[in-house]
Amino acid sequence: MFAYLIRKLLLAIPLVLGVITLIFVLVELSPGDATDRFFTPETPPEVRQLIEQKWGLDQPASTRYLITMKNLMTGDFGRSIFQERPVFDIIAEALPNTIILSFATILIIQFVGVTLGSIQAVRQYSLTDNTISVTSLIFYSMPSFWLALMLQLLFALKWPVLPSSGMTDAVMYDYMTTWEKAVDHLKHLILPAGALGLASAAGIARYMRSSLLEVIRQDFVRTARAKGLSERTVVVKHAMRNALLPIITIIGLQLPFLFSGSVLVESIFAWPGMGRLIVQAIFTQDTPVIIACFFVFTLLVVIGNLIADILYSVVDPRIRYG
Amino acid sequence: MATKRLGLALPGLGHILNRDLANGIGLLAYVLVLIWAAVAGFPRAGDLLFPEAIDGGTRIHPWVAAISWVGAVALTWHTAYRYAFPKALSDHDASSRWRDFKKQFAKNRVGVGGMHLVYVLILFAVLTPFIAPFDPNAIDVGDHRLAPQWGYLMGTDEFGRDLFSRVLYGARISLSIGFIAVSLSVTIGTLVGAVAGYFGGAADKALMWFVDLLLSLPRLVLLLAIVGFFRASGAQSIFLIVVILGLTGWMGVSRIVRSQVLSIREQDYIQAARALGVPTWRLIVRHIVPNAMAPVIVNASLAIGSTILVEAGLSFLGLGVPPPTATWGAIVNDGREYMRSAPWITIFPGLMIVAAVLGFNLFGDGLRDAMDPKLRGRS
Amino acid sequence: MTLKLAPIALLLAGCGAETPTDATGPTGPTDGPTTSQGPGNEPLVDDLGGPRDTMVAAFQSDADMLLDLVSQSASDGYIIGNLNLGLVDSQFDCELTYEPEIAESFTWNEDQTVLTYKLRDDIKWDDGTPFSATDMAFTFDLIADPLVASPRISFIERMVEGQRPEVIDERTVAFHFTQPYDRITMQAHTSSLAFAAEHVLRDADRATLRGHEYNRNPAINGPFKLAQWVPDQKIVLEPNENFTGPDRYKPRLKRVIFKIIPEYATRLLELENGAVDWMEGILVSDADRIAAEHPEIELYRRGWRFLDYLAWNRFDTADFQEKYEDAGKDLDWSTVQEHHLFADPAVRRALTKAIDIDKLIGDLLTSESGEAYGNRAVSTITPTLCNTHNNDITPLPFDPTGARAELEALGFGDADGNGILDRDGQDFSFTMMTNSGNARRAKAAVIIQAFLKDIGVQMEIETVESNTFFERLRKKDYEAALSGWSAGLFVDMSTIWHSGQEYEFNFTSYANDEVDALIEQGLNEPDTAKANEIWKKVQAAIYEDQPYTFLYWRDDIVGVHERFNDVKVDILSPMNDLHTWWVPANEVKYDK
Repeated sequence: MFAYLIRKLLLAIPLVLGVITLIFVLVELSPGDATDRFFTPETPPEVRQLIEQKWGLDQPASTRYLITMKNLMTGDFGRSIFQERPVFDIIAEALPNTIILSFATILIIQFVGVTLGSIQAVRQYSLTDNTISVTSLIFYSMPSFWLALMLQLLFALKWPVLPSSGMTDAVMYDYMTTWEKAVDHLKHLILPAGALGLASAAGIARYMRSSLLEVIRQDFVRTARAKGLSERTVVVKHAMRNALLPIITIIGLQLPFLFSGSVLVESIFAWPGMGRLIVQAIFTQDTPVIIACFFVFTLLVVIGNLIADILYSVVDPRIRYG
Repeated sequence: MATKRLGLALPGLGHILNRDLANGIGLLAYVLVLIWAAVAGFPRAGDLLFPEAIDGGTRIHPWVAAISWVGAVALTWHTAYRYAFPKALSDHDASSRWRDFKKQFAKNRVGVGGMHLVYVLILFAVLTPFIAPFDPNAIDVGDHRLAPQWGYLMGTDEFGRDLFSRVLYGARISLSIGFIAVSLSVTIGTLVGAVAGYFGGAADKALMWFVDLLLSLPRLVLLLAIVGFFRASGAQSIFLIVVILGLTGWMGVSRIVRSQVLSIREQDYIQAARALGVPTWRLIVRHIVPNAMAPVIVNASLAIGSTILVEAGLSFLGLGVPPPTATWGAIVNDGREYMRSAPWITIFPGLMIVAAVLGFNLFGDGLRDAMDPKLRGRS
Repeated sequence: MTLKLAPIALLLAGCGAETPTDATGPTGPTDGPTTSQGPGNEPLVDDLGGPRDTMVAAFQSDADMLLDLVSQSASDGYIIGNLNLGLVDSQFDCELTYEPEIAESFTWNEDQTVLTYKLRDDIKWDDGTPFSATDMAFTFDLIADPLVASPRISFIERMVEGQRPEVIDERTVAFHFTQPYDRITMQAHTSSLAFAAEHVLRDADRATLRGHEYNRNPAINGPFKLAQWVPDQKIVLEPNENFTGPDRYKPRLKRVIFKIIPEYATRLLELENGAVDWMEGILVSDADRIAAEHPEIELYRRGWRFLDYLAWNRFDTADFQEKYEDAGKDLDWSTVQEHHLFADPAVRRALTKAIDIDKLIGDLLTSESGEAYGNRAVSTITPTLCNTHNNDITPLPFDPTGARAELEALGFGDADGNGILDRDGQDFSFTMMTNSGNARRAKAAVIIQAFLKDIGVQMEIETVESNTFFERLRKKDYEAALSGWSAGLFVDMSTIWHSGQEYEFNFTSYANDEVDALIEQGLNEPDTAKANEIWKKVQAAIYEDQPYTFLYWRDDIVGVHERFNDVKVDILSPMNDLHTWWVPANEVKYDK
């Protein structure tokens, strides 16, 4: 098991390298960069040279590539051209927020999706099944940003029950008890995570439904039923575990999708995460931040997949990694 | 029997009376749209088809619309006719697989429904010159930010532009972008998948590694990066968007094609052809690929849906097609600031996106279910 | 009270994401005095007795750098203005006037080349070090250093090196100028920024000054201190307990929280449901509704602060770029090929006449109830500078038929019958660029496009991302551009209109010898009244040439919750004199 994980990690390295290379090439190909704002037509050449030196722009592309690679591996993300702060700090501020949001979103996706899918499978072809199917599909076809706007309209405006932006209450947070703080966090998480997750939850529901249906048909389920176990035990204890397997692998596959969606949802809800950061970096052509963000994204995807693998083996004891 | 012939008078009626709701409603929808186009467009047909000042390419579209209208009427009526008087099976209907497939698909009401939804949208898009009451870019056709009402079915936006017309024209653009981008993706993906699957070895490993790499990147973010980088050079255009969408969406196709090719490659008839000395490229192109396409079609349908979503996201961030062309995502973006005073500007294009993506998803699901032998005999 | 900062006379306006407000740089110079002191008009000490309130303000973007001499964003300016006192305190009534603040007095010498300040002795930095002349000299030293690349560098242009300022003793400085020019502007150049604490930054690396810790945690000497800064979420200011200045500067609010909300609709939402107490940049289309549905929100207008205009590049872009690459600053403009359309003032005038600017104002800046938040513009001098603005210029009327006729008289016709005017085989077709994320300009562009189409002119709209947009303007890489300025409150028309190559904001390459001479004369005229007359002539001459199609000045609408008293929103700042704002005890909302 351990060896398997190590092996997988090692395999991930070329992946990460590949991503960095790709982004680097893209950045090279594109015109201009954030340092342009330091230059005016009158900037004397010595100053120009100094500034270029400071950002390492005076080196040829291949050297810069190697330096970037080396720095990333050692955790030196350089300085943001736009904010003039260490990129590491900037990402360190934004990353936990995105992880919190992603985590909450995954919870919603899995919880809502699995529950609905299971209900559908158990009551196959009933009215409940069809209603949920149709509703799921509609949500599945919604653009996340539009859903975010609609949710905001409904729950922050029409019925002002939930906050419309931010991670915590701007004024009162510092004065809250721990319990109140937790509640405050949750309240702020619901709308963004919902906007991000409901569409995917619908997808999971459909998948869960067919997966569970397949499993229910199998022999071991019939055996359990024949043994006289209650329907609930059959479904929950035996069938579910097996049906969950493919769902778990999907978590890993969904991560890139989640990050994409967060780009849109974060700006609508003023959620200070990586999504907002990378959009800003792209607009200001802040190369070090862009490269570092992609690096971190890729790492997260790799880790996410690894976690999915571990979960997989936990849920199905038959699976052992050699 | 006789009730089916009622479809000749009103296509769809026959189907409904015989409890084929999906097709019935679909056909009725077509009829509705065609009548709408006729009522809204014929009085203006003269102006539309023979405008005084030639203004770019807009002259072609009304003609395309007119011809399509005629074609659609013919097809719709023909469907009703065939339903009333089915063609007898003749002996040399060889492709029974195709026939089976059609039959299986027809059983899936939801898939059929999706198909009709897609067709209706396409019909709307093609007939837009007749249906749209106003030029989508004409400002001040009414008061600014009017609520939906008669004459302005979806209200007006902050410029006084008719939202319904804009959404209709947006349909043309969004659907076109979807189709073309996915075609590009399918082409590239098939190529890559076929090469990887047929030749195997190092090429396969390298290509699939590259595919995994691209798949692990968030698509929207990658798109943002590419579009963001290149727009600084002023190269922003609809062409660029479509190409980049195509270039970032082929990975799934390549995997599908690869696995298909891997299994087809070992089949007897392929071995035979090889033994006969058929050149490799011809083998791939004429024999292997066509047999691999079935799941690709499914994927393509779903991909059009997701492409529309991604493009909407890009437009929403301001990195999509440049103004004043209105894609649905761009209209939603326009309306962001007016969420409080004119929410319909964001609501309607969003609904259209949902409808379009829903249609393609249902259609794709239906196709997939029809192709899956495990599901035969159920439903 | 504290600083409102205006480095240059006119600032590029129009960057940023979706907001309707687009002041890039810090806003006006120092703000008004303490006219209101609370009930009874005595200077306030610590008085209210009851609980003090918190104010929540909504910002569009996070602050960046709190070292004023390198900062550029509006958010920075607002925060810095509350953390520091200004050298002088600005007031504005048709023109800027200055009152003492850190400086307890100032005097000019006879030929107006030396400005001497005497500083108070009771202003200290928060670590107890007194504010002194050393800080001032050090700040200007940094500004002058090319390694720092300070955007304020234009301040020192006409100062004598080595004497900017001359430190006479710890509390006396004298600024020496190479020549006198407009007195108000001269003084602004010495005082429109927050000074840097020399004892903190003296050993800082100049080339990486923007990355210095000072930017996130500056030394302060003003009424507020930076209590908390959660990046991209909020900035919290609280009264500075180490403030040693006069009591009238001590804040009467418990806290001011700046919430960072990039989305306009969300900001507005929060203003409406009470989560936010202060918001600027309210769209005209929302003004009526807020006034009707939310009587608890007071709406303030700031004055004609922002200008939108259409710039016409008189040079052929490709040719100019090529020649500029070779010759750089020594490029002789007479060698550059002119644009086939925009080099002729008569063409430009016709284009202006083709656009119904009043209708633009009606569509974009007038609320449903008829309240006009826009004003037809005829120059880059804001009408709020009432003594300087030339009120006698008659704007060109909206006359599309006349415009068309004029163009035809200039040789344009429709030879190929495609509906677009042409001359010598070339269509009257061009691309106008504007920056993205500005809804008002996007709208204006579409409307202008329609008007021009009506007279047979084809205009393509190119939306360019903000940073690139500014770049291209500076490099003059465009045909026509829809852009904006944020008005400076002192007058210096050279930066935009003088043909000298050192003036980097002359985006249209405007060159009129008569105007050049007038500008130089005006700059060197010490008497403000006489200078104003010269500026009026300059404005008239420029309007005649129409290098811009001047569109409109627009107002900025700021919403503040009614429970705040002694609120000052004016052309100098949308949160002026924040330390005087207060809430009566029975209306306090946040009691923690």
